[in-house]
Amino acid sequence: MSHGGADESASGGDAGGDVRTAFQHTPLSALVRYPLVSVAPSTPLREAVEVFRRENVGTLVIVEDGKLVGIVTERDLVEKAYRSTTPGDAPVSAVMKADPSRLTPQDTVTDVLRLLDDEGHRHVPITDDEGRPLGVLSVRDVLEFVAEALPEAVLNQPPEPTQPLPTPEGA
Amino acid sequence: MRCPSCDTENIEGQDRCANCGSDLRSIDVPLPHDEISTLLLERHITEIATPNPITATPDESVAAALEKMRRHNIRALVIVDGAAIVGIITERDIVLKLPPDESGEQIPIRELMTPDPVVANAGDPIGKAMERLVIDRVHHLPVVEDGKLVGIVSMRDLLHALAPVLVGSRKP
Repeated sequence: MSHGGADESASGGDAGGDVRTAFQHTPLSALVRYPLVSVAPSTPLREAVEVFRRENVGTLVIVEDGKLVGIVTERDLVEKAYRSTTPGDAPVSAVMKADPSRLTPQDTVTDVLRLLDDEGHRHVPITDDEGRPLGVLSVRDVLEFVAEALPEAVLNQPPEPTQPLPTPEGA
Repeated sequence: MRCPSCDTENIEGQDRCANCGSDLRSIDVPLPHDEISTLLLERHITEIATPNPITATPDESVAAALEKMRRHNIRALVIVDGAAIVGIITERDIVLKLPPDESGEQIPIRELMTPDPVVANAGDPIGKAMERLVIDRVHHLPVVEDGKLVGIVSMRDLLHALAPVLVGSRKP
């Protein structure tokens, strides 16, 4: 059975399609939260950590001339900042991951699942085509979206294959 | 149900967005009942958990915890007192609570750890782990069996189990 979409007939799954097909067609613009928390590469590490704490984020986006140049994760801080070799007044660029993988709002849930799993990162920055950062997606954001797309029965009830699927919970 | 184009909240089951008219049919469809429900309902947490997780005691220093995390390339340590699980300490706890110039030599883990962490039971299905990780907003779940620590399951372990099924690129 086809979806009946104007130009999506190639993707139409069985009887109403499936969540896999849905994810191939759900753009990341549906998930990204704005605005993002960013600092300049010259920001002292101590100050960057303060921003990290104050904003309660899992990653800091490093922006120069409006473009994404790097990200700093908890891992980067634990690996590098808590070593006497990187003092608190060093620039945050000393511990950042330069030129990180990124996706655009037009990429899909399928793309982000694949990237996060392949690269093992916890966060993916989202930029526009010019490399301007728009937001960050975390594994948590993506799994929350996935969990919401699944019928409640799959998460907390015993399997009853003969029962019709309940309507997924709203947002 | 949120419109992917304009972010307007729509009533569940709408074909088109009430605001911008975008086609919403592809985001409001049932899931394949087979693979995903098999993974979440029938397979056990222990299948995706890391067995015998690295532990520390509450009296060890935060510096020692950092060293263990680096050496084993892990992001969380289960804190035990004898056989009892008394806490968990993660990279996040350290980043949020330890000043960057501090080595953590003089600070015991008990001051920075999250006490009485949410745990999962070894006999629970993977869906239960997903529920805990998403609802309780934690990244790591110690797995217990008969009150004993037998493993740890992370957000990453869950993603790694789910991604092949949701992406469809390889077998679960």
